Amino acid sequence: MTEKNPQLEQFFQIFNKLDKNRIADLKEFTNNFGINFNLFKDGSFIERSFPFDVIPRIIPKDEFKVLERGLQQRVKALNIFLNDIYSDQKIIKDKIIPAEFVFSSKAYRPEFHGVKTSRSIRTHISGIDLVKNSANNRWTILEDNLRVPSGASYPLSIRQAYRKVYPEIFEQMNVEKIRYYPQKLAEMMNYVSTGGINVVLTPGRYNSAFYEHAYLAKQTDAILAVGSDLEVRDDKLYLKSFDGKREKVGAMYRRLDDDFLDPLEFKPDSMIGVAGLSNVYRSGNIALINSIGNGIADDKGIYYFVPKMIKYYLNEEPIIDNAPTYLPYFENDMKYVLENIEKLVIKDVAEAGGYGVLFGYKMSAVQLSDLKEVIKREPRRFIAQELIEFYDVECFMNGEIVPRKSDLRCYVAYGEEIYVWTNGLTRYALEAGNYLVNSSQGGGFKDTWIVE
Amino acid sequence: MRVKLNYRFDLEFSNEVKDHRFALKITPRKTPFYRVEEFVISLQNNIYINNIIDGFGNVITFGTINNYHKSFSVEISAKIDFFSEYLDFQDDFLNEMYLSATNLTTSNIYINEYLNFKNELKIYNNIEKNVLLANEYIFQNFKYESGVTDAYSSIDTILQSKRGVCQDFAHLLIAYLRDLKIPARYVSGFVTGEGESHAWVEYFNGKIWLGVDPTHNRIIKNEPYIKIAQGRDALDTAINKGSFVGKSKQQLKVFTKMEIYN
Repeated sequence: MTEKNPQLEQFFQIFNKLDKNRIADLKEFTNNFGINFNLFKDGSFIERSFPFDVIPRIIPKDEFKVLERGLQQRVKALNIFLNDIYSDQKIIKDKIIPAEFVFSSKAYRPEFHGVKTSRSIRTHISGIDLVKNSANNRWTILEDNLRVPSGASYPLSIRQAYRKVYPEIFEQMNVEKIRYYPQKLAEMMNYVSTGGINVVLTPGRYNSAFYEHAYLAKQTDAILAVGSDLEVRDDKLYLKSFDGKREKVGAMYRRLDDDFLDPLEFKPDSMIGVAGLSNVYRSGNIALINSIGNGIADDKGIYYFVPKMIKYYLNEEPIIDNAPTYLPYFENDMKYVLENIEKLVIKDVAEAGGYGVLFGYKMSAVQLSDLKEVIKREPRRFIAQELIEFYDVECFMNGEIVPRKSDLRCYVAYGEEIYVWTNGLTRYALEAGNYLVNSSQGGGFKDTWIVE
Repeated sequence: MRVKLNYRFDLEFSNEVKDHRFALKITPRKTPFYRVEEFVISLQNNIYINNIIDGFGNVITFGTINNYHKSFSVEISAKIDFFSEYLDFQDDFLNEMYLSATNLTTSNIYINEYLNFKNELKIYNNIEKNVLLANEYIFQNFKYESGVTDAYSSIDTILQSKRGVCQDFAHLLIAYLRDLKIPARYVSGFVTGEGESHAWVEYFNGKIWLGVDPTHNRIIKNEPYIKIAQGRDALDTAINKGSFVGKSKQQLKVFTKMEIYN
């Protein structure tokens, strides 16, 4: 089912009258400006342009206002959860979350227990994935990404091109501006900084999101650096320059996973991190964006407990729903999962990016019975979700308008205030009927318009 | 009882290296059963070091050597007064944290004997009895031999080869205890004698944490054990971690001497 709203109709009224050749101009922009997404497949890198669709996803402004409040609430609770888990662990003591769910997670980092982060912020940049449920017309949270969520630069750069190619549309429609995002990031970095310059740490140009690292560094007036540009001295982090000068780094937007951040603490063979960085973090002399050990809060198993967290920490009802989720860890849920496996989506909690997602209806009887055995043996490893029927979005492909599954990643920056970006990354599946829209699974993207 | 500890390691590089960063866990922990009367850490000249405490309460000594060098030596000496029986308290974590299996304390292959003994232990619903039995079982059935396992070996290596060192003995005991829902943590440190550093296990008896040493088939009471670091497994306690620039092979020599002196 395709989603309709008056704003989208208004868009088509204008768009249909305009020359379709302009679409090619827009596509050319994405090629010229190197909007690429590197895929790692079968042991080799494939650099490809990130497919872009010209029809924006339009969200009415009043609808987005609800999303905004819901996301602020969710990120606030997740941030308190992380502060709690790395200090008093009250939520475990009060038996809201079973201890095992936290302690058995590979993303939990007890070696950083007790570390206080600058201004008690840990989820500086969150990417929250949502879909709009066509059964009840409500937005539903699919996943929280609180480690190193990527993708914000794609809609940022496409919007500039869009405004140039289609000025008429923006004259007639009241589309929320999105250019404040880099400014909000810069303000957030300054707010949490421990004193010194701001840096964006990139693994380098072979990373799938290098385009974005460079883009965001430029837009936020931060220095783009690789690990070897940085040095830990005493308990502080410095940027080295070619003339031998050193500048203290106060905030670092690191685009590396925890595992690669510091060879002295994590993977010893990481060549892209900074040796000793974890001790600077422990000393409180750097704001790491995001903090170390955030993965415990976006673990697929912990997801189940986020609505409970919101009630526990904020004493509020969750504004946005979770997808109906079952934990085989609990006896009743195990029973339900085993009996209904053919209609459920089973997710391996350790996997990300659309890997380790199994659709019951696609599996053979033998595969299903094997899966059941694995679930019985390792109940903590899986969650099961009802397959949500979410709205299709309209895409312009090969000269015609076709429906495709899509989701929305909303970006939330947590500085002095919690800011929900009036944009987001709308991803869509390239093939009809496919539910997996992740960029690493070969999806494309659209601009997202919040319209009055 | 007073003991004197001297420990030293020398790392020789086959080629010169530079921009060397290291993180040492080598400072004795505070405990309720001994008092550290003297502790000195000696490094080469011109090395700046900085101490920080990790989540487990272990002291990490971080340092840098920027110039080219071909060797790296660390020496510690300590005088410690033992005034009570071995015991320790809960650290900053809920004890449940020490129930979760880690990669090194998990068996991923089907080993009949391992599973059988796990089941055998479940017959007894008594922590002390379980600890004694598991400790004894490991001591009797596995042979102490170096070179079979390495610092990153999981318990599968010792289970298959039936041989290992104190680290493997400790991991195996931890695996048995955690499976029985007895919180167990890995401890690295020193015991009397000469040779290398040592590793053993602490378990929670419902009130306090007690020591057990499967390498010596011993429930630790009055023997002097100096605690250096504790954690979920050996990876949380490594004495020396380093990174440097330069293509070089490393050779490590370790010297330990711990003796009772009055």
